[in-house]
Amino acid sequence: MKRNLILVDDDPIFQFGMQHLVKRLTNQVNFSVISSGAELLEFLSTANMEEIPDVILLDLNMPEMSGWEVLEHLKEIDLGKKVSIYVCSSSINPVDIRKANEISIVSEYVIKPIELTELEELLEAAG
Amino acid sequence: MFFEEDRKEILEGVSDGVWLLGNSEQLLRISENFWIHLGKDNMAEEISVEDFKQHVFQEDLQVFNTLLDPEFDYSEMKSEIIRFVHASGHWVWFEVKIKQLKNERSGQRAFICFDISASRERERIYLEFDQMNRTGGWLIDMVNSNIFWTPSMYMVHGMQPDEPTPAIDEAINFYRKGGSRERIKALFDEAVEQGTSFDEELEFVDKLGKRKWVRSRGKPILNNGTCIKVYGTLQDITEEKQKEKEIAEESKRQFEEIFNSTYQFCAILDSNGVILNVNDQALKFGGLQLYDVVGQKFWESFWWQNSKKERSKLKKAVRTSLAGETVRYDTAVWDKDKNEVSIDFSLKSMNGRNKSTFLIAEGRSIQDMIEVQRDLETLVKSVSKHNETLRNFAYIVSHNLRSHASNISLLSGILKDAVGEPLEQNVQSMLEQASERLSDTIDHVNDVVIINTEGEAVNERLNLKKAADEAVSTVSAISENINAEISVNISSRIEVAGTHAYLESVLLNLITNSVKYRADNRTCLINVAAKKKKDRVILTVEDNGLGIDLEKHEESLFGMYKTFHGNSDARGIGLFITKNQVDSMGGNISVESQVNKGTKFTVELLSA
Repeated sequence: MKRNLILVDDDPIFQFGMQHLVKRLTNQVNFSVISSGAELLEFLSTANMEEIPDVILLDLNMPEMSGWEVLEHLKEIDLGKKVSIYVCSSSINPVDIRKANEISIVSEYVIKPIELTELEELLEAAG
Repeated sequence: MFFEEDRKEILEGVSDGVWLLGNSEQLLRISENFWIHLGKDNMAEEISVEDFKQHVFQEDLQVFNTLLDPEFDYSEMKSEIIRFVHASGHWVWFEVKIKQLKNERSGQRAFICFDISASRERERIYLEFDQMNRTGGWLIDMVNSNIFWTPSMYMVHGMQPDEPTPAIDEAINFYRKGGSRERIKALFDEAVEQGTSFDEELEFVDKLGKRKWVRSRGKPILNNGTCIKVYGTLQDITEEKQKEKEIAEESKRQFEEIFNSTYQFCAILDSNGVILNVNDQALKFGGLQLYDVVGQKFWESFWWQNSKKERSKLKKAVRTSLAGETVRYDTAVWDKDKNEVSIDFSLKSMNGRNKSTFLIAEGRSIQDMIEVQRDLETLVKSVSKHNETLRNFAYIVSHNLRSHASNISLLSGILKDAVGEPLEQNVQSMLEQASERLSDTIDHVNDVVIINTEGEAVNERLNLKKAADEAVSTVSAISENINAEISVNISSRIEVAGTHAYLESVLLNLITNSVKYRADNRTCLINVAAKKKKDRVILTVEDNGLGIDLEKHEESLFGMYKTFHGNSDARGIGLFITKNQVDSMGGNISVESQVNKGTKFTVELLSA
């Protein structure tokens, strides 16, 4: 069964790049892009069980609603299955890294850019 | 036979010399041992009275003449003391006893001599010692009230040696009335009645009216528990007392000198915490006179009226130090203008005379030290805040540079993979976009670094109304297009200190923001106003736009690369640069806003 991967990022270039990488890596992943936190929360609230993602790649630095706020909301939502959430940012600020790792629902903090092998490992780890 | 040999032998044997005067009254027979005592040898056995007088010490001739006077009464054994001149020049003391011989040649007289030089010399030395020590000795026979005084007693009393010795009551009257006299009376009575000795320093007035200090010592002699005699010494200690007084005065003077010239504040308190003395420093500091504070409880004095809490702490400290513990703490007191001044304060107890305790309070101003420390703390705070800002700036810059760089590497990877294959999107235009953003970011960093390294930019006098009008005219193309109404309510007299480019940039950025984040459902109204407030100018830019949720964003509002409205051209750098520019002009920027009502930025600038 194909797994669902959702990238939450406002940067069109990164969106494009990731889509390209996933396509090169496997055809066993349904890759979709969401450009803001609000849209993600909206999607999750209406999605049926098959649409709930297995993996979320979440950017931190987004206008209106930052990745941190999205995480605050996600903590409160019962998605009905295990979802691996990867925080994915260009920030190498140790404060950000520590803060992300302290949030229970975050699987890992991934520093951009994401290499092909890194994405592969990440998907494998997510089962 | 002129002399009976055997009698001569006996008399010579028991004495130090014998003269015999015959009936002629002209010739003396002198025994050999007498001459030996005078160191004179080979003298004739008989000598004329006139020649013998050559050997008598000049001053004693009169006594010698009386001795030889035929009218002299010999009815009983008499003696006189006469000095003779020794061969080596000094005199020899003789006690001469006269005896009428009752032999066949009646009328013959014998003079029996005893050399008493040694005991006389001792007496003389004792007398000299007494005079040197200004000490007299006395003895009172309690049975017959006889009083014996040594010669020095007369000297101490300012009397001549031949004056009659005063009776007990008279002697006591030499002591000064009003203390000493009553005291000596009591001591003497006690010695007689209870058998106790005494030794006291007392005040005394001698016969010539000279005031003296004496050390009076006395000791009773008891017989079967009854006092039969009292003896003692009387020493004139006026000079010692004078020296003692001078030393005391000198040390008091030195103490006062130190007490008043030290830079510390000093006070001396009694064991009830009552002020006994305060030094000049402390008085001057409080703008006080000594009589203002002496007699007051220390904690009720002016200096401590700044705080009730400190007063009760002081009261407690007085108690603690009375228990023997030194107390020291930092506190604050009032100076003469009722300003609080920090001091390092200490209290310690000292033992005074007669087992009394007094307290020494000391204070050293540490105001300067505290101010330096405060400045230092402020500086440290400001530096660490600055460091924090710099660190954040570095992370933000790194984040943005990295995000563009990683996009470029991502895109170039795709290009490499896709050689010969058609691309579904225009990778080339994306690359251009990413590199453009990278160069924008570098420009922003440059802007910020320049603002922060040029220091305070308050070198120009700028007319605020003119600058605001220019900014409004710059955005006129857009504002007219959307029918925004921008009003400038600034007096043309208001001038601020700053840099033209910064002021222009601040105004332009705030007005542009108001235009950008307008509410689409109403006419965009922007009001730019200013008023003077002391040495400051308060500039406000107020709109009726979308507003900002300050609860969420207040902290990060003026941060770098923060955007709040999802506007596609929001770069998140404007307010960060604006804040930096305002800061470098010595100003301050703040914001009030309500979502969907509007936003008001307030900029405080230095008045020119």
